[in-house]
Amino acid sequence: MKKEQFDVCVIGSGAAGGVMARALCEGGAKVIMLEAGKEVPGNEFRSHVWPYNLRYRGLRGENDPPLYPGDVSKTVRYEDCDSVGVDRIRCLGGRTLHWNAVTLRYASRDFRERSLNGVEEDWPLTYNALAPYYDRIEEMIGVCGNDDGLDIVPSGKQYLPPLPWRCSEHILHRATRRMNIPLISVRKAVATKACNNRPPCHYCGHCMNGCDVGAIFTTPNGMLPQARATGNFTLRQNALAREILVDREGLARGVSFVNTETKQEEEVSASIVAVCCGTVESARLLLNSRSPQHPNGLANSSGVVGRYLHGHLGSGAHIYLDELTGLPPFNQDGATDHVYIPRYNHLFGKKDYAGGWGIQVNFSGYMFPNQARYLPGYGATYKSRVRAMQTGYLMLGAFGKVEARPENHIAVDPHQVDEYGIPIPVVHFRFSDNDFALWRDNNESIMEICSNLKGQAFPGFGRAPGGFSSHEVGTVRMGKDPRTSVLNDYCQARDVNNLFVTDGGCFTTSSEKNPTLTIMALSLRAAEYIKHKRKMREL
Amino acid sequence: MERRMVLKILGISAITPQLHSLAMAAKCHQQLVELAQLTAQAPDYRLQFFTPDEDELVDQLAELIIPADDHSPGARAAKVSLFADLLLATGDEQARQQWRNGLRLIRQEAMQTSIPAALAKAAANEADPKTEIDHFFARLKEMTVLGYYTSSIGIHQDLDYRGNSYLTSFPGCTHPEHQR
Repeated sequence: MKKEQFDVCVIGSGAAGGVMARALCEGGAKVIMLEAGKEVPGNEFRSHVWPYNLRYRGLRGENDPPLYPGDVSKTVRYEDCDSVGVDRIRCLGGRTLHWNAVTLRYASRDFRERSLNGVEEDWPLTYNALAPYYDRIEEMIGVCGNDDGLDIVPSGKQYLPPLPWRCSEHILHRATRRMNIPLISVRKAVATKACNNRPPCHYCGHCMNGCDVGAIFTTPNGMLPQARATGNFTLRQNALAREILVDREGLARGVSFVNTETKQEEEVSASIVAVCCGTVESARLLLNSRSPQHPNGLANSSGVVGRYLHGHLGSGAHIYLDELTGLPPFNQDGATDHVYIPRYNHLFGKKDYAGGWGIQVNFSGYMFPNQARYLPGYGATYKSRVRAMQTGYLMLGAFGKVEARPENHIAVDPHQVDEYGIPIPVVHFRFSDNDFALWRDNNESIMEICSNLKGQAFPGFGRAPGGFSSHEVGTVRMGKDPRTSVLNDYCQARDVNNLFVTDGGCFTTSSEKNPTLTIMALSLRAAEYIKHKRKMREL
Repeated sequence: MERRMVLKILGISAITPQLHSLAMAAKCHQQLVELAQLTAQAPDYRLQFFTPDEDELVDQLAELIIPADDHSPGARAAKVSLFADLLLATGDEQARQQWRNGLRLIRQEAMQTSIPAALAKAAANEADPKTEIDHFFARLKEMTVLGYYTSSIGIHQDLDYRGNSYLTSFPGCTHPEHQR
């Protein structure tokens, strides 16, 4: 292993790493993938287990598959932070193992925050440059939905059959029509019919507990098999990257990693390194990769690595529709979200804040009666009311844009290390005035939707915004200005031309839309660029 | 459930290609049920935290919160007090002290009146809890709700939940009146 020279080392096997590995292997490169975690097969998912068959009824995570091993959840610190959390998953496939799979393209305007709103910066590429990669990724992973003809959530031309709308969603549509706001079938990477060797969905509503049959796209079911089929792919699991190694010129030459099973230090040599560890871990790895050539961390002459951390804030409500209350129980599980409310606040005149929100619908499950917690009282009448309301459930969950600001950042602490001696990431994050203004308007708008529905509504937005809904981005951002960015539009580090970072860390700014599809499109574009440069012998 | 049972319920033949995901799902389900039954709350559960008196009081209070009715059994049949005992025994010390103290306050109040009256007094400020007994009502109710609606009685007999299943297609809304 030490002697073998690979063309590319891909660090991380999530949404970004999976695309990089497959595209680079299919392009003829010899790729080694390092994944800190290990494979968790479908039969270790406990999605279908009834709560009463679990020791603590699932309240202590007993029904979760082992996606967060060892000390990974504890080895992050929050300092000077508002109410935010970052994901700490560590397994083959990363968050694709339990994502909800909502796949939305960024709109043209989402790449041009500075030009349009005078805030943040423009991305160094446009929607048009990314559109062909969105097309190809959607085809590779299988996305259900429609070509809705909406600028705010651009469409491809070929989608799998959309998910049928529930009763509550048709009733919601009455309210959205009255308010002149859009409601469309959701776009989601779920096989509504068998595709790409994956079986169709069986509508059990457990998408976010992990799809035990693989109807939801994951890296292990949708990218790694194709990478393996080329004969160019090597996978090392239980391989936690410690540091990216550089040569005398400061170019990447390989990766030093810990074999977490044997605790041995190992090294892999590669001509190109693609960092796909996820926003927090990618920044952490670069900051921990110090050398005389890169005293502030790899590719960090700008001081920007780790900065501009942001993600999504949340709002929402649980509503119990009168029209559906008291019905005989019926199976509403489906595939979590079936519909989506795209951003609409930009259609109603200028706001005193930049950005917007999109609203996902019905992704929190139909088994547990949340209304039992919201309804006052107790006794026979209370119990009957809880039961009657169960069929009327409608859940709205909004994701709002958060500003990218340099003060918000990931640092590393050399005095606090994980069990392998690697300095842990430290999160520093505060919401801005813009974020607060957006959040307040988001909440008001949720209440307006509720007031257009006949039913009992329970708002779910608390007293202050919270983030990041597992959508953290921005810590190794691409940009036009070398003073405020680390990467160019091909996710290539300016300081180290054989280093690429293609996960959410590379985002210049965040839209209100879920980031994963854009992560994958950017990764595919970066992989194609690498393939082209290798052919020209420039990399 | 067994593969054949799944087939029978869904009335589809073994040749259907869609069966692949159903068979895999059923197999996973069967393995997990077998695994889970090793860890399920045993019928011979022994109290780990509550004294027998405390357990009886919690049982009574939970049954007042979610009583048996014509439709389904209540919190007593669902053994909510044993679930509470397990959670508290394996949880943190602060929660245990809050419960021990809260039950003592309820019993004190009940000596003047009755247990149902004591519970009603604890629940009187549910919207804006101020005193220790107010806060204890919130804890009692939360525990009863969690214990009941994660139990087989709560899920299947009371709510008659039809999900967590395997469908070859999702029917969606078939009611024209919802779509107008």
